[in-house]
Amino acid sequence: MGAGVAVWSRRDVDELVWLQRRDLVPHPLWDDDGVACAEVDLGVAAGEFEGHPRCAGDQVEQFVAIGVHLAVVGWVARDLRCADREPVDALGWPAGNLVHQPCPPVCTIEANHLARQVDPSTWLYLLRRGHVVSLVRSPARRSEGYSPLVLASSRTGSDAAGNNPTMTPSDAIAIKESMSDPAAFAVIFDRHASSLHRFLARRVEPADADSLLGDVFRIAFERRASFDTARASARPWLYGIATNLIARHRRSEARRLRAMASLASRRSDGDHDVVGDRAAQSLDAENEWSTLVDAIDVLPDAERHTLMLYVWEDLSYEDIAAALDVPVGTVRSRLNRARRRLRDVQGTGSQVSGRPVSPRCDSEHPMEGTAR
Amino acid sequence: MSDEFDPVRRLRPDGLLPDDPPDLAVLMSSRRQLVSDITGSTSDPRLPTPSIYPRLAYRDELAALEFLVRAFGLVERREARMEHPDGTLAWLELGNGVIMIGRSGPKRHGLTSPVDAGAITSMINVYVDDVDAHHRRAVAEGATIQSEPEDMLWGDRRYEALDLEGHRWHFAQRRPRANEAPQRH
Repeated sequence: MGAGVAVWSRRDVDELVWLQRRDLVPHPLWDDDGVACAEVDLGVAAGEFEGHPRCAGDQVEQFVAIGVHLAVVGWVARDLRCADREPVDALGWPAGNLVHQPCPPVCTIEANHLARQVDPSTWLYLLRRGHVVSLVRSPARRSEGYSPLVLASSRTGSDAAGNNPTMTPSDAIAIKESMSDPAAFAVIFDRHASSLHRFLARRVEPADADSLLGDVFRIAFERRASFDTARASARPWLYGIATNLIARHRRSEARRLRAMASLASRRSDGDHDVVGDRAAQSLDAENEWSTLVDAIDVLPDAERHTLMLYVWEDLSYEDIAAALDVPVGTVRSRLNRARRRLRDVQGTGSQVSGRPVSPRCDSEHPMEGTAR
Repeated sequence: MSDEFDPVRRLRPDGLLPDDPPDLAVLMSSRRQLVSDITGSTSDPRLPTPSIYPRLAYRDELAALEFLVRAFGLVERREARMEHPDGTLAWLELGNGVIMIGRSGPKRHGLTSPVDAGAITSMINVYVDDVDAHHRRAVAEGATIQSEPEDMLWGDRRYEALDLEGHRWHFAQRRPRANEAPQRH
């Protein structure tokens, strides 16, 4: 089965010639504006790439990275030039050191219908190289019986090995794409739905979380023109939309919080070894958790939402500011006010503020201890 | 992280309730609705989640995900992926079947990769349309073939392969049955 990646370039570059010479390009194509398109068999490339004089020992990952570079020349030069506010000149062309150069800020690959089968793996190769790529369907060239997919990614820098832990997926590119091709917006859902669903399920009752999930992305789609494409990730923006929706479900939110207080007090109860005191302590714990929840519940909405994004979602000040569309200083002052109000209702040495409760079950994704 | 917000942190539902991943069906139906709303198209070829689906454990679940897509042609339900440095969960489908993969370990329901267990305790059976093409692709992508494609007593054609960490996969092509419609999916 052919594993093809079509690589597009505006220039007839050395790499393309080299690929052809190595029989890695069974079907070189040229489109009418001089863009070279090479269909490359990744399976062959994995073995053949060993012979590249500049890249001995390198594997398919590097090969794909080269594909990205080739693609960049074509696409950045056309319509993605300003997607991440980076000049084409920064790409490190020509390709003498492609593999070892930091990758460009914006990369796209077009992959044909054969490659549809391997797109996710290409995606993962790039992910591991520090690129984060996602499928964006391109409206172009459908008429030629050629249905390209555009893999779009961006990166802000990398080490020599191509690792870049700070990389964020470029939702901006997908959102721009969706202005002309609405279906491209599905990728935003694919990237963020599970995180947003988790956020909603923490804040409101499960049935409400399920129904609000769709609303978040529908509203995001309707407002996509207002997304600031200077931001690579749409996640804070989506958190903001979700927060607004939660604000319209105050009762569900309050019930969720109260249910958690009830669970927490039972947990505190179970922490005690002295059976005789259990009843009294249990009552204390219940009162204290209840007091805390009351205090959270009566926080001004803006403070409560800020608090929850910070404490439950572990978002940074900057991301919270982006989510709620306020300055970072406002996030800080809201948290300080919330801190003071909550401190007032908590006695020192109480069970509530005491040692942490261990979760009853193994956590699928233990968020505890994830330092920012 | 420990600060004055610790009590609030302790109220977070994930610490108080068992933290299992959400029902894939919720994400799928939400996605289907979204795509239908924004494109006006209601066609979604994808099928609902089956009532039974297994979960496989890997030391390196991202490598496994990449391999299963590349070598065995499984398709990831991207919207369902739950990413976390401590382990990513992913759902992969083929035809009307779904499997879930995640990281192995004592905190992952005690699931163990065959690499660590030194034994295989299950096999995933998959029907494909063209088992020989599937086999060629698996070979080209580096799968370990346990048995070559062969016709079986009852007419199906099948082969067996191991994935990166030794989970055993059985791929078969159904013999066309006279009393069934030729086009099934």
